[in-house]
Order: sequence, then C-alpha cells, then structure tokens
Amino acid sequence: MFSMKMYRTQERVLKEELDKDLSHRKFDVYQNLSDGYDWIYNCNIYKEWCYEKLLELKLNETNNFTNTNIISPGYCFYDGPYWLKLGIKCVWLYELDEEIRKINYQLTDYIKDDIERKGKTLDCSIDYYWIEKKDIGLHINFNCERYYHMKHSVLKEHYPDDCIFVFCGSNLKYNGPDTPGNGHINICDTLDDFIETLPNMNIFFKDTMNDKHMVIGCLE
Amino acid sequence: MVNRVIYLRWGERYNEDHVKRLEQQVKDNCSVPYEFSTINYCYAGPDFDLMKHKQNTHFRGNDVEEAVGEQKQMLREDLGGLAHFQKILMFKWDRELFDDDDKLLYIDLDSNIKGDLAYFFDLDLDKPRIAYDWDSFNNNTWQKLYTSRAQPLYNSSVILWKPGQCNTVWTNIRWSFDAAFYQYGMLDNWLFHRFGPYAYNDKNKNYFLPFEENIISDDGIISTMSGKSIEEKYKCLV
Repeated sequence: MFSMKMYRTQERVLKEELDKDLSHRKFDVYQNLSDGYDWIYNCNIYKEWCYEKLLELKLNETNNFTNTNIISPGYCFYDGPYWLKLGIKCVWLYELDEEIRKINYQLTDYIKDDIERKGKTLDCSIDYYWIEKKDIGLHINFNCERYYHMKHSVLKEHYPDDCIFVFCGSNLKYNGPDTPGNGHINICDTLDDFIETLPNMNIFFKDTMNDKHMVIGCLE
Repeated sequence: MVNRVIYLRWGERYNEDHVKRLEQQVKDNCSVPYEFSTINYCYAGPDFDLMKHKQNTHFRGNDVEEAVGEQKQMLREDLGGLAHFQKILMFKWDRELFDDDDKLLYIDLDSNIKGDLAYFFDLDLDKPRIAYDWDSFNNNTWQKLYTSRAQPLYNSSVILWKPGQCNTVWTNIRWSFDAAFYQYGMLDNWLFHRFGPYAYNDKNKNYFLPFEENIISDDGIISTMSGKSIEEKYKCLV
C-alpha cells in the first residue's frame, strides 16, 4: 500500500507537477529518482548510510526524533520510509534553493498523513538564528562542504541537551561542470580535518565512505 | 538634487588612465548635469581594513580579483573571499557624503558607455536598481547553479540608488563577515543570495530592481565586462 503511494507520487510529480512551473528541474529529479544520483548533492547513498547508522546505533530508541532538522537534504523521495522508522513526526527541511524545497514537498506527498513536512529557504551558516531549535531531537547537515565551519553556527546553548547531531562533509573537489564537487567550498581531506570544523562533540560514530565523512554525536 | 556618477578604483589592476577613460565616456554620453566622483572610504578606514582582513583570511586562491575560471583546480567562486567587497562600503558612506535626494549611478571602470546616461537619472527610485543577467533568467539556467553559489542574476557593474537606500546591504554583511567571506567568493553571488528572489528575510527579497532588458548589454546604453577574464578586459580597454 505504502509503496503504491510512493509510486503514484513520483508518477504525479514527473508527469504533471514539475511541468507546471519547474520543468527545467525535470531532468535532475528524474535522474535522482532513477539511479539515486544528482550532480547537485550526490548524496542518496550517504543519506542511506546516515539513516541506517542511526538505526543500527538504536539512537531512535534512546532519543526522541519527533522533531528533526535536515539541512541540504537533496531530493527526498526515498527518505520518507527512513523518517518513519526513525520516529520522525515533523521534519524541517532547509535549503538554499527554494525550488528544491518546493519539489521536496511534492516528492514526499506520499507521507503527508504520517509526517508533517516544513521547511525554510536559508543559508544555515548565516541565517542559523532562524533554524528551529525548540524540541529538536535530531539535527542533520548532509552537505557541510557547502558551508562555513559548522562550529561557528551550531552552538550548544541553542539546542536541547539530548539532541543528536549528524554532520556529513567531504573531500570531493570540483571535477568539471555538472559534477559533484561543484560548489564545494569547505573541503576536508581527512576525517580529522572535518571534525576540526565541527562544534565540540561527544562522538558516537565517525567514518569515511568513498569521499564522504560522517560524524554522529551530541554537543559537548 | 545632484546626479552623481560614482567610480571606484582599488588595487593595481586599473590606473588613472582608466579613470580618465570612464570620465571621458561619461562626458560624451550624458545629456543632463552630473558630477563625477569617487568614495575614498571604500579604499581606506577601519571598515575597509576589517573587510580586507576578512578577505585575506578567507580567500583560498591566487588572484582574488579574477572573476572567472579555475585556480588551484577549483572554481573561482568556490575559493572564498568576496571580490569587489569595496562596493558595499558605498552603501555605508553615501548618506554622510551626499544629499538624500541625490541620485547615485555606480559604473565599473571597465565599462563601455554607448548611450545617454540621462536614462538612468530619469528612472523612479522606489527601489535601488542593478544590472541583471537577463539571458540566464530567460533561459532558466541560473536555478541549477544557485545552490553552488554561481551564476548570480545580479551584476554590480552598474547600480543606481539613493543615499541611505542600500544601508541594509551594509548592515546585512557586517553581522556575518566570516561566513560571507568564506562562502560566496564574489560580491555579486552574495548580493544575489542575500537580496535576490530566495533571500530568507522577506524584506530583502528582490531588494534590487533590474534595469530593463538590453539597457545594460553589448547593444545597450552601457556594456560591462562582467564575467570576462582579466585578459579579455584588458584587450577591450586598450
């Protein structure tokens, strides 16, 4: 039943909704839905890595992820089932690009009865004051490589004490137009370099997969 | 009320001859009274020193003034700094230096003026105005690069405003110097993100009005060298 809802949603987005005023995004969205790849974020496999790891660590059982922030989530069609597993009831999606936020609202329509979807178009490094803080149990940034060091904008005093943080960054450099690495400004060659850019954390998990670093923990 | 044509010259790239070249072009192409002047606070003083320090701290390439291409195998816009930040200081000092009802027209030194500048001084200034990349707008190519902070529709080579009207641009950056200088690479990218259609603060959304299509273009009143390499600019200026 649920998978049928997902199918209907992607069909409606690709065949109807994008054609209304976002047809220039159709290729990107199609590519992302078909093989999980898109040059803007290239993060479907890393998002899967993050969600699987949170479940493996059973953090959803010890912590309350009802209210969750996700910064730079990319296209979120495949994220919904993981959000459900993690116990998310209200997800805030933050993007620099308003169009991606609108598309995500369409792509996650299949989950609207279970999860409240909200969002803001902002730069998380500069507009961090407007990122939701109250009762947030999980805060994820999938693309720290696109922003100034997170240690300057993610401050312990702003978030609940038990909030879990996931930061993903990378050493992926520019490799020509329309390739991942375009727009990467905060490139960290090693996992330790990446941790240096983050706020002080009590780290539960850290690793590098391919070019991507991931750190899970809470703020110290 | 005075119509003012403002120029800025910093660094070693342009010299007095380039200023005289622009001044002569203005003289030849402006049918209404005007004054040709600069704003010295854009090149000196504590605000300039602070911004210059941020520039030096956060720029990660070889040549901060170069607006296109790659340095150190990275795209120029990904290398930080805020090339042409000096222009922001115009918005801090304009009210102290000029009368409130003056009209200020900033033009880059490497511009070519081909039509009557009186057009600009006749425009309504309910909002400040800025040159615009109409090709990218019409072709819908800018959205794809928005997330990577590239291909801004704003082009600060030509700006028209009244004293005090853009003070919010100055106040916006002064509270976020480090993130702005680390992330945006060039002033136009920052301006477009903070004051363009996707600006978070609704009051800042579409803060600047674009000049009409073809006004700032190869066949318009002013043609700019925005987006060209330094070599290309030099060729055209000889």
